[in-house]
Amino acid sequence: MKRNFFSEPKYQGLLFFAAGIACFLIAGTLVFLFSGKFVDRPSGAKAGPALSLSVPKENRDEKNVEKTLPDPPAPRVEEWVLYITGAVASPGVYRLPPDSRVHHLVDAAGGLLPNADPVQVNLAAPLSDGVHVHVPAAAGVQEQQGPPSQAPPPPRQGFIRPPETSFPARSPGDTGSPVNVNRASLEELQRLPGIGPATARAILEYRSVSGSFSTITDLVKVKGIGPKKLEAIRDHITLR
Amino acid sequence: MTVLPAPSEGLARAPLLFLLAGLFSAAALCGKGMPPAAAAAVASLVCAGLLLVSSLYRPARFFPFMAALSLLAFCISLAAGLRMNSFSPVDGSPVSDGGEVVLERPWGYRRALVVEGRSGRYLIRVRPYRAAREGDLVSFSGRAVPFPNFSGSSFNERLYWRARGVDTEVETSDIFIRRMPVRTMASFRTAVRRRILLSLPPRVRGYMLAAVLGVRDPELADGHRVWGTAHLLAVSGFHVGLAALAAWKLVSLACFRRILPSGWRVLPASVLLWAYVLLAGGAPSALRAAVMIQSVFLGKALGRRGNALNAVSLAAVCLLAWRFEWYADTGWRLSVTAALILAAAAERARGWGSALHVAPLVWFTTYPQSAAVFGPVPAAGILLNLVALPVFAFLYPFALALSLPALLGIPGGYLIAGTAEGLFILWEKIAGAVSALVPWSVSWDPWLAAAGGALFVLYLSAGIYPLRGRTVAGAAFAFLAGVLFL
Repeated sequence: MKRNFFSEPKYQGLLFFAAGIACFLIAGTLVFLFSGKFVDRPSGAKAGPALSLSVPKENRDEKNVEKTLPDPPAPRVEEWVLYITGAVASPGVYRLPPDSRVHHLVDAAGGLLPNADPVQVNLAAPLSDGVHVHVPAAAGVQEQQGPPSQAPPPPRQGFIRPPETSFPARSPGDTGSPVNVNRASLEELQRLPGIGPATARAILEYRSVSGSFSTITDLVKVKGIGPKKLEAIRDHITLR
Repeated sequence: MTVLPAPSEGLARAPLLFLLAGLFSAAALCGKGMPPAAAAAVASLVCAGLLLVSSLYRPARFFPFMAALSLLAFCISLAAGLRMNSFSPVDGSPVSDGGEVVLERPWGYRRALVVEGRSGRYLIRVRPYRAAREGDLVSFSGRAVPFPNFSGSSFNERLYWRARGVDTEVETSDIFIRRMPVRTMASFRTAVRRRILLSLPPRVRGYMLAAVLGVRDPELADGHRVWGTAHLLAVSGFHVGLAALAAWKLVSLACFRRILPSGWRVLPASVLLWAYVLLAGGAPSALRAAVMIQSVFLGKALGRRGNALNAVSLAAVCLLAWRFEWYADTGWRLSVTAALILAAAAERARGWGSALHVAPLVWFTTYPQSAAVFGPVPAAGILLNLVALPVFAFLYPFALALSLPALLGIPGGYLIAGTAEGLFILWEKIAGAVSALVPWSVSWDPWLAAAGGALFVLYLSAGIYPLRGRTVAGAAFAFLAGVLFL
């Protein structure tokens, strides 16, 4: 029986190979034909308005922008985060119910130490979220006790320092507190991402030579901290 | 036409690989400004051409399947291309909006924020000290500006941000950031990030940040770059695979077996898998791996054994069909390249021989892209990657288990995590010693890059066809077409 040329498997294979190459050639021709259209920007530049600008009409009146914008709802603070230092049994950060007063915070911190000077701090004073309370030691014993390393320079009187911003310093989901690079110890600095012993030492040396950092970007002056590292740690540091 | 008794190869084994080749061509051409219809035609021709030049034997219904695949390539390319090109640049239009920060990352000397606003998704660049965290609420006003275009650079910033769904960049004149408690995945990521940063020893926290949240610790990243193992710090198929394995082992515990029949166990495993991918930030490589593993899970539920190459291709096709711009993402491309090579190796051989040649092969086939984008590629990576994956397959889960007490605030947790810290230090010492033995790096070289590309195409072809003259010829034409078209 006479067989068709294309029914031979060998030739059939070649035929389809040739067809495949033809597909590539046509595709190449299309690429070549439309090569003049190649630009380094989207070809549909006039396709319509950008999705991102479809702000509702009532919002377009610049005078009304602030009014019409939904102001994000304020976080509902269910507990206050408070910081206490000085002559208390356990200085540190505590969470207390709203409307607490200084004596509540002192109780939470284990009470006053024998050397505390209760006259210089108003135990009945009201608190607010994020404040820092310092209980001074009585004159004469301050030097022996010394404030904890993260405490501010010992003031002459007790104080209640307000929070830095109107927002809560930490949300309820957060843990820990930012590291104060102007006061942190070698160990505390090493808790920052990308900061090892050498860089932590370099920060301490910079502080001893040049004084405190006035802005966060001053940290790039420290050997071992570049812009990338600064970006990695800037969420976790504070200056005050 | 004579239909030959064909072995299971080519179209019968991994049809979506051909579809992926077509879609990738169309995406690259669309990205260069080719009209979507023409790019879609090229996609279907590439798909059909590859099938015809590579297939020596044609299984039953070869042509209907080929036609269907080509048509699918055309339709997907046309739709994705039209969507890609419907984006129009903006110039100075005023924008006022607000919303949640869904992505925050370093960008040069600034921080980039992606804000999910009411009217779209925006990119805002802020100075480091003003940056918001993921999950924060931001209100802003300013003007829309086009994405910058760096002439002479292969990096296309517009495509990078468009792949992440960003509609426009806003140059803000006024920005208001409000910290919020945990209420969404983004804010949960921020809370976990803080917990990891403040509770764990330095190396453990760096690796946990990378594995759990997809955040790179700069100090660890420097080391891994030198060792050629930077991929370990990006959530990829390796991490997602570990998470999937853990999820599957969990739902296969005796207590769950009694409750759930075998097929239904896929459901909770899939939920755990996607929860991990979302927690890890939904990086393109993680999404690709998750879709791939999901297809394997589905195959298991349906009682069908999947093909690894087909599963990788399916994942890549899904992402390209979703957003064509992914093709321009270097991380996504490297992830797909490595996954395809690993899948082809799995198809070809198993055992020590396969394990030993895969690491150099992945290094060589990803070299053209790595060297072009990131600069010289360390040769030590060839050696270190032989052991890096098995070592970290143990270290990551082990370190996570040891970190849990510290993360949960259990006293002594920091010391327990210190054990993992010691193991990571040991890894550093070994990796440092190996990289000192092999201190060379390979810069981009056109001939070496061409060899890497050719090897990639040939190895993929050999993954679905027996290595014969027709396979080599098909691979050669595919490579040539890739070089000329793209």
